[in-house]
Amino acid sequence: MAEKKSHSSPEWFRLDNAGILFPGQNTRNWSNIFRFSIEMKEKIDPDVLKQALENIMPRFPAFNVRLRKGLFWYYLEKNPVKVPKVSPDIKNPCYRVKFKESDRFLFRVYYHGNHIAVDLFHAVSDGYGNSRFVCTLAAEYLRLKGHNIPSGGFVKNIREIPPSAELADDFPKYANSKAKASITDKHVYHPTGTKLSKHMVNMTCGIMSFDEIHSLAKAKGVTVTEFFAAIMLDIHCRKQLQETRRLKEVSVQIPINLRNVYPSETMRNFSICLMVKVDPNFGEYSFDELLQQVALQLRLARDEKKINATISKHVRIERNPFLKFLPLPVKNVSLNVATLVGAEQTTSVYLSNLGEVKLPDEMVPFIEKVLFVPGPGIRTAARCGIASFNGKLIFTIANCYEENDIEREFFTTLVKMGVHVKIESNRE
Amino acid sequence: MSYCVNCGVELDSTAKKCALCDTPVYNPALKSTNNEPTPFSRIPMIPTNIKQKFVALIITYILLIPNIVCTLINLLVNPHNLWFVYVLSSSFLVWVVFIFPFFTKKLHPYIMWAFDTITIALYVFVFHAKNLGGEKWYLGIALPTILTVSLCVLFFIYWGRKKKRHWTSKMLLIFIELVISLSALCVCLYIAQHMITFDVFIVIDACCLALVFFWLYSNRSKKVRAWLGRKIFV
Repeated sequence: MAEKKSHSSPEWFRLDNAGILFPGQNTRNWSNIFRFSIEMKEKIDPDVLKQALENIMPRFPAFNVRLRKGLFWYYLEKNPVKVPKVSPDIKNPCYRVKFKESDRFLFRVYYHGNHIAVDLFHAVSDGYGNSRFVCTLAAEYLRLKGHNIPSGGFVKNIREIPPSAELADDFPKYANSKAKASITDKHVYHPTGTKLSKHMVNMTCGIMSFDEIHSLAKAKGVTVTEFFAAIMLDIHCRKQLQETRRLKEVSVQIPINLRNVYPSETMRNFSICLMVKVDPNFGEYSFDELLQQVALQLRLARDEKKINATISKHVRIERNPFLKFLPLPVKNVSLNVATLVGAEQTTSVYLSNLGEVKLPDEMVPFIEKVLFVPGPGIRTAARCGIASFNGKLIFTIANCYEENDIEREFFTTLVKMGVHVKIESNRE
Repeated sequence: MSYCVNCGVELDSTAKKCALCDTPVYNPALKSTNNEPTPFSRIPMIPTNIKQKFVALIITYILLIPNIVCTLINLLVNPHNLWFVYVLSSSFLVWVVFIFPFFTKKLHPYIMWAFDTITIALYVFVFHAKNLGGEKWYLGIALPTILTVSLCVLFFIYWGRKKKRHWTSKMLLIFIELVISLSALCVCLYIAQHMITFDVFIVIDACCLALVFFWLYSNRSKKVRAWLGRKIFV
């Protein structure tokens, strides 16, 4: 079986349309990397975890890769090393990726106490892919511990040959719009503060009941993502009023899973970011008005035709003959400049909701909670990840500043609304 | 289970203080939790950089090769004209300024700058010793200018280390020091009666003085500082 699997996966493949950006943006201080972590009810045995990783790797050819340089583009190549190391967890997750480190794997596997965590470089996959990978790893770990765990939900069947559709770059497949989408945005407000030292991040998790949040959001006629986005906008608008007289727009960037829009099985990147913004120059927005703004803007932006126009624009840029034949070092320099000028300058808050993590019923009693952490930003103080499992919703804020007023404001707002919040953090 | 009296959130059983407001946890009912694992690891991972000392050593060896070759060729082919001292002194200057700091990471910046100043003075002295451009220029123009610039840089290091400064303040000091250094050079040129180059330096000095006023203004005006911050953001 293993033989068959190794033959079925290609020796090399191109980066997907979203992934082509990330290696060029990568510097020795910052990488686009994020974490998905699963907490069990028993202590993790690193040897068993290593064995579990070895068992699942052939099922995930998209992860078993190393990044190589071509003349014009980066590409992914099958990694001759079987599995990466399994290491004790660290205080500062999502620190920068160096392509030649950890046997050239583009992800790192950690364990600490009861939890397993995987930090993944975004060029490989998105939250969808990483969550499937970690859940399958946890399921295999439990199997090796003697439990009978079937596949299903987020857990992939490791005995099946990975379908070729999982390795496909689905952006060009669905990009067929002729409309011209604008992908430029204004520079927006960023909170100021004391930057943490290089490679460090303050991570604060709020554990709350999904039902409590859901009923609050439902009472306001919005979704959970829209509800959280409105709270974040409210905090940032008020913070800006205290900090500066010249008001800028405040925006929340929300990635959406395109697999919910188009039929796709890919394990590589297939998501797009939508932007919700308010301009405080129009006047002070109440929380209810912000909720309305977020709900309306997000629902308008979720239009399939608009999404198609945006991904078509991105694909057209990738296919542009002039850009295509630009040597890789020139592309890298341009991307670095573009990241400095654009990128985070147009985003005040990043909010990614992974949704409910579905695991087989037999696995649920062994799992305590799941955690989704976006990597730290360069300027954004609130990069938030949301994941829920078994009635628990975990909201994580990754902050690159020493000040924690945004976290405090956010969670105390929820407490004032009557939500019970438990806080866990890597701050000392 | 502990709650923060300030924020109202439940805290992890291993928490010593609230992660949101730093209020210390005091719960007499809670047993000692030293053995309980914290929710996150407490050990940071600071990525290592390239082994700088090793790279510096390699560059030193590479730099040695042309120097040895030039010295041998000069001594064997034309021993009367010792041009190899230019190659040697230039390489030595490059080595002291750019490569030597990688060998001594913990050396105090003042001492490091003193080394650099001495090397630069010696480098210029080589040209003086070879009788280039007359006899008096080294003691009359070059050495006083080098010392003035060196003192300015020394003050900049001292001032910068004292506390964190805004970049517009740094720009202001750079231009003030530039004016001082150029003025020192002008005085030396005037004393040495190098009237042609003297005029050029007066014009440059005046331009720098204008820039000093610009940075002085932008340093004082919050609005201009914010505008510059937006325009020249790195």
